[in-house]
Amino acid sequence: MSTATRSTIQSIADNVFPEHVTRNAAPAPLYHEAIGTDHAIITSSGGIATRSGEKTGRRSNSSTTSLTCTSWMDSPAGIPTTG
Amino acid sequence: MDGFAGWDPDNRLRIRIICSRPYHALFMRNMLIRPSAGELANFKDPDYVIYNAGQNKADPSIEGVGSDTCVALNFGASEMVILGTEYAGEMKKGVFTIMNYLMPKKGVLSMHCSANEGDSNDVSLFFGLSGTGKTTLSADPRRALIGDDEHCWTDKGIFNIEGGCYAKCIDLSREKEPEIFDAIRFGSVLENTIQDERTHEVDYSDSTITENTRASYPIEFIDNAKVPCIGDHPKHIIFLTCDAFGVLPPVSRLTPEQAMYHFISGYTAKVAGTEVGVTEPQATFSACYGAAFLVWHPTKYAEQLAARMKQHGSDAWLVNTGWSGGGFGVGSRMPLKYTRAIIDAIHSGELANVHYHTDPVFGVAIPDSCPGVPAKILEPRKTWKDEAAFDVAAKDLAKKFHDNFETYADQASNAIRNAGPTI
Repeated sequence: MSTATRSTIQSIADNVFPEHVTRNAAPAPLYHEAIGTDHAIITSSGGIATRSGEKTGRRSNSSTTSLTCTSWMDSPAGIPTTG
Repeated sequence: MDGFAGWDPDNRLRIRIICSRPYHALFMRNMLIRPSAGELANFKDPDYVIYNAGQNKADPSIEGVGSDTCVALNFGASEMVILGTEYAGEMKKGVFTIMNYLMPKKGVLSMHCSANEGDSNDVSLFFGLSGTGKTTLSADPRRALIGDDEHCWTDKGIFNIEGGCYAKCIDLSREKEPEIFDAIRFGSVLENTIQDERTHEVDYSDSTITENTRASYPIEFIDNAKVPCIGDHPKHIIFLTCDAFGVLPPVSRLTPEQAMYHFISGYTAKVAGTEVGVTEPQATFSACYGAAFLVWHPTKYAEQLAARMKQHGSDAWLVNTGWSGGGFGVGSRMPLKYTRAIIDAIHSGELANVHYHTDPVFGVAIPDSCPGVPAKILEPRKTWKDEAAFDVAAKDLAKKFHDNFETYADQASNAIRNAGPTI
């Protein structure tokens, strides 16, 4: 897990999130939304199925972005440099 | 989506997920602890916010961003951003990483393990990397499920961090894993499974998209889940490993020093077919059975585990759910019924009362017998047709342990360093 400066996170977030927000929706309306926008389907057991896109597992270390040195693996002191 | 991380009110975080895909919202509704209506009304400002914009790629031109995938966490700002990956598991592991940062600072041990509880409130923890059996073995009809992946150990006992489970479901069947199979119903999220176009029936054997098909569901969908998900101090600590070299015994008892050695080592193996580029078994060492989620040095977690195990007299076991009779391609995967029998014998106390002998390479204590398991299987060397080949494989794996432990040797005591295998 890498860490980033506050300004970097804010600049990323500010650019990608739309204004419309639905808060704490229950499963049924989330099913409705997922069918409409996630290409989800309701399975015969009642669960909802969809795809995660290109990435189907956690990122490997090689694709992890390291914005600042903070994890025990790359910090000699084993102590985060922020927080 | 707002929810809590941690069933212990004294060690609970308020988490807010802001995401653009509805399935991500439902996933985290399942995985976080769902607030009551009253709690939601008084949720106030969250302790941490996770922004999941995984449909948008990261910009590699930003200094320090090496690819189009970015999972960035800022402990100072209490924020996390996910870009370039829509795999839902990144969110729950982000919460776990946050807990791995905050809890040890309070003297609370965060752990990558599942947990269940017997009739006499005896708690077992199952440590293991993905694919070693944490979820499968903790779902036991005779024991209450406390949680399948992430827990903390405090002075009061243990608590689950999550409100749901995220089970692998490749080749899932009601026959093999009835608790998990029946948990997949309205409200559950299936990720990357294949369904019949006409009936919408899931084909759990289909790995067209990935071997890593997943199902997420609230923990109360498991019939014998214990809610609230808290328990007493653990009686048994079980380290699960999937040894694809067929060398480690299916079960062995560990001394406290061996327990620390194996906890810090975190050994398992990847096998061909489950990951691109893996064509033969590869040893994988992941400190504390979850190095990717650690924030502090592994010895910080290991020291807390050792202290708590000593204080509460917890027994430690190493259980190999991997190969027997030879390595991958030669031997066969340990039948689940035998692993379950081993776990049953640990819980019943029967395995503590049999005779043991010492493995000459790994130094661990191997039982001479175990109810429900053929004695021959308990001794790996005897399951190989070519015992000389076994000796070579055992020494090779022992060397891998040694090489890996060099990373931690300077911060480990002599007793722990000497608890590793003999070359």
